[in-house]
Amino acid sequence: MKYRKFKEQLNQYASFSVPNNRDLLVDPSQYIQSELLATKTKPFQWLKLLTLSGSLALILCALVLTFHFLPKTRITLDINPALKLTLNHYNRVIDVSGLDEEGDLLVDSLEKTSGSLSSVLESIQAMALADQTLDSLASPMLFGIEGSNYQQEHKIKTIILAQFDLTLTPVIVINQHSEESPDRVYRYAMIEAATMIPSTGMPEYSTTACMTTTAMMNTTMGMTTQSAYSPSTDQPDTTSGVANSDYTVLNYSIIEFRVLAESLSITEAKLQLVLDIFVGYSEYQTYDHLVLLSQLSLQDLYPLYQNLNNPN
Amino acid sequence: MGDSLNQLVKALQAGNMDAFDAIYEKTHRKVFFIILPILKDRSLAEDIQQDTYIRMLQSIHAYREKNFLAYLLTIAKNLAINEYNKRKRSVLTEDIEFDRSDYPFINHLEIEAEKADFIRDVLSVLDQQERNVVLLYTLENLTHREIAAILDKPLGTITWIYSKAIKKIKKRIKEESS
Repeated sequence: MKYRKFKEQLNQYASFSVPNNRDLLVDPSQYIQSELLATKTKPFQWLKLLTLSGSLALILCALVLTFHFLPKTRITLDINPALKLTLNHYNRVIDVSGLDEEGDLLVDSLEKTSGSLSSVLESIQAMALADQTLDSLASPMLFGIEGSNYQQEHKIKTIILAQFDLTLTPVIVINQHSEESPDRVYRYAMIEAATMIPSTGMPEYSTTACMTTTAMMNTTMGMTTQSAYSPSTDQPDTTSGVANSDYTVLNYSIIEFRVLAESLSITEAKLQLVLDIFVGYSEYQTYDHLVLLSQLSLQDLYPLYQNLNNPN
Repeated sequence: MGDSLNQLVKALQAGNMDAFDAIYEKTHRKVFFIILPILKDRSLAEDIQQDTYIRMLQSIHAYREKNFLAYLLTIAKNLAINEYNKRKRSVLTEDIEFDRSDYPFINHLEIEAEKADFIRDVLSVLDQQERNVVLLYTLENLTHREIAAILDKPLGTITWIYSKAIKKIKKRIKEESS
């Protein structure tokens, strides 16, 4: 006998006894939910949808709030005193604080310490004029912007310049990033090698006479943007008249730059302004000169800076 | 069968109750076979079989899937497991993992006396799992995939068990003949 034959016999003589209880299900239509009954389930579905959309709304709110309260950009404002403004993702001011005691006093008297950048700047200028921190609308203001990239910083710079364009207030805005390079701008200065900044506790500086092409910095005066100095090669700018064998080019890293600003008790923006003047004028050569410049008020520095950029 | 079953389901959704009879006829055995090895109690399996169809009817308006048989068997399996868990708690039996493939389906086999000895003799060379696979495949015309679902085993295992069983049966038949 073959297996196929066995299979046939198995099919023919054997079978499973499986109950067929179809008759016990009397009127199965009673179990089928009518459209009317089916729609009764809709509130539950609506409830689920409502819960889902509620959760999504909560997540959205959390994201918006996170972006609102998360600091994105920092602005320093030098008007003697100095202030720090913290901006969120939407370029709205979320905090204003003083960088020195006088700054704290000014902040305490401010009407607005949050909101749009324009309104907060307006409030700061108004209060500074009221308590005679600023002599007049023509008193210069120095801004330093520390954002995540050039585009963002440029956007904020535009807002600042537009704000003070109408009042003809002289404004210097210093970015942390340049348009040419996505990297953070490195500041540099030339200081007499023999008088290497002793008080900063900084690591020894490179004494190699090099200057990176990225060591350019855009400074803006009023509505015009121009480079304070723009070396075209990796060599010191000999056209400035101050670079010779007696001087050593100091390449500052951003950390060293910050340490120097801190040791001089000035903002990074003011240090850059001071360095621009220090490099631009041949009479300033030693570290003491640098310290002296750093102690001058913005009102005193501004004409020097202006003269540097517009020699005629 | 799949296509026609899906057509019947569409007809049932449209309110055609004759379609239910046809669906019941096509599926009730498979539903029973998937419940039985879980509960190991024939009368209880019959109750759950009925519950399966009631549950299916109650939710048929929301059915949108493509494989109705798999959908129905899933309902049956879940109801059977729920019932098993319920009874396990009430009688405080030990939590013994049941192996569905070892359930003796042969106990529900009815064989005509004329060939009973021969058939039982041939089937005796198979172990329980092999017997289950051969019987479900031969008598119920179930696919290996459906048997895998009923016995809760991977498809490959069922195919392998089946081929092993055939070899044993052939050998036994040969011995009988000689």
